[in-house]
Amino acid sequence: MSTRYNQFGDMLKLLLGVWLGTVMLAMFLWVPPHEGLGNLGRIIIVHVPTAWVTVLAFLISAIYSGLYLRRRRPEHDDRALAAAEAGLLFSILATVTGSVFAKAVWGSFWNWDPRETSIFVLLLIYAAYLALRSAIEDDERRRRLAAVYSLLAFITVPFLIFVIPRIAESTLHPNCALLATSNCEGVTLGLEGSGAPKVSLLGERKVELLDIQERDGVAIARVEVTEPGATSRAILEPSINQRTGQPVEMPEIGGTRFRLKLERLEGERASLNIEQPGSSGLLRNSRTLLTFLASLAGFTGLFYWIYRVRAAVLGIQGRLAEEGVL
Amino acid sequence: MSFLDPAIALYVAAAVALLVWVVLFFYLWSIDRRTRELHRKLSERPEAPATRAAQPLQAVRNRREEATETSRDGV
Amino acid sequence: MFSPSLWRSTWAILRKDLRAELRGRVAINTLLLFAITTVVLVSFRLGPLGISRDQRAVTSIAVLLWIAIFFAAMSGLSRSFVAEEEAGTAPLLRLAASPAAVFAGKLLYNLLLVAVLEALVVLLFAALMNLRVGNPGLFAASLAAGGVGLGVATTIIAALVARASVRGALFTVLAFPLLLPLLVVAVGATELALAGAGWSKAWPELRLLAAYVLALLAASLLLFEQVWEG
Repeated sequence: MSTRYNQFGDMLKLLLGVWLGTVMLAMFLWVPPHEGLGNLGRIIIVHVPTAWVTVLAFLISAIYSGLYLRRRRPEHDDRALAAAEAGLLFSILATVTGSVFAKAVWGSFWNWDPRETSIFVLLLIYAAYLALRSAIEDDERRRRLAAVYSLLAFITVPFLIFVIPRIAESTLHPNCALLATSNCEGVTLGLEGSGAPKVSLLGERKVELLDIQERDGVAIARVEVTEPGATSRAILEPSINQRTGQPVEMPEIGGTRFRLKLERLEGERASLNIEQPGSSGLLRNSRTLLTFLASLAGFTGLFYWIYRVRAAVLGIQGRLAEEGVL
Repeated sequence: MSFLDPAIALYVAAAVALLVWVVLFFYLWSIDRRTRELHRKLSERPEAPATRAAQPLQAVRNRREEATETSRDGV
Repeated sequence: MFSPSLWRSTWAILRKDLRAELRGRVAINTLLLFAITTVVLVSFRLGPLGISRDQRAVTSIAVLLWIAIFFAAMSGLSRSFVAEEEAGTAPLLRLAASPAAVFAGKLLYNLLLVAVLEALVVLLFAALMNLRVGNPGLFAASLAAGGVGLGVATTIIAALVARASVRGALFTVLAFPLLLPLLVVAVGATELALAGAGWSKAWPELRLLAAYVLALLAASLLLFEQVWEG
């Protein structure tokens, strides 16, 4: 019976190996480059599943902490610890992949974007949980107090969901593509005498409308864009086809993948917005979507495997310690 | 031809990612094998206890009840 | 559970802690010195001649106010349980009172300390930072709600770390992730109060603070027995 079970498990693990290997290849070779982000768009295949696994690990750790407090079986604590350790690993992966992506696309490694904030807090909690464990000598007490902390964190962390919208009004993550709820409104600037302001803030950048020109039915707005802290400024010329209302040129804003878009032109008033690289739908492509879902499943499986192996190691360690070998 | 040449950069990236995964997979696989082996050896010993001892919850509860009783009389 | 004897033991524990504190004044001295140091340091460059003159600086003032309160709280509020373990009196307390009474007594003691701390920090800010409060009632409410949250969190975490090794550092490390949502909202509410916003505008913040405090309090009450057993 048990050998048959082992064989089945081995087959599943081999399948996982091939599965994630295929995902890795598909991510680079099968998924087409993203419209706005180009090859950078591929990162979601890895980044989002690692973030998902981080949250899943937090949930599992809390559940087994609760079970431990009820039943006091060391195995439950082993599982809570194994989940927390795997969670820490995956939260670091999610943070690093996200941060590299943020540097390439948004121009800085860290922006306190809402999702960056929440993954950061999860990372802190995992670290605090492990720090607490390492500071208590007695086995039984360590398990008990760690479980209590895990549950306390589980109660308070969901409040971040309500708190986060207060930290930043808009998210850099491509919400406009996935959800239609985030704040994606632009600004309307006008030349002197038009009644609209000439200078305004678009996100954290200062934009100033210099003039508007028309050539062959294409209207071009000359806009001076000043980076936060006035570190650099540039004159960009987004344009719009006045007959069709379609933007013609959407120049990139200094060193990022954001583009400045001229949305509308009414007389001497120009409506400007920042075109987010992800706004054209990260998962709209069916190949991308399929690879993404496969990756989500694969990473969940990988997490489960790591978690079970770690729990088993902890179990053996516990047994040996109980018998006085360790 | 450099590794970062756009024509082959994607293949290089895919190869690196695949290599990392293969190494990681076999590492995990070997740990898994050894852990199971160890687990089997530990539980097959004749003198091995069936399960690990859970904390004596009832004893804790009893002590707590005594404590509550004392506080009711005292203080 | 809420029997008269519970209230009696709670009251007795609070009185005992206060009396011990008034003899040694360890916690209160740490808290106050820490608060004074922070506020004085801030006010050197940002004080009467700095940003505090600027009416628009309410965000900075609210943040600085809560930084002073938070770090002073981190330095002094772990005393409640740590002192019991250091003096070796914890086992006696376990025998003498029910866990609920111990938690309630220590919680009240920590709440008193937080109240003293907040009063001092606000006075110092008024004296050194040109603190001008647009809506005093709301200001008091935000300080009170934030302070109660701080008190509850520090009580249960002090109990957690009381028997660990590196307690001081661990206390802050454990408290910060739990308190982050509370602090962010409390800063927001304080900012609104300083700017003179009406109650209706700050209502979502206050509601969130109340919900957070209630959730944490309920969880702490449920879990404290597990922490406290010897």
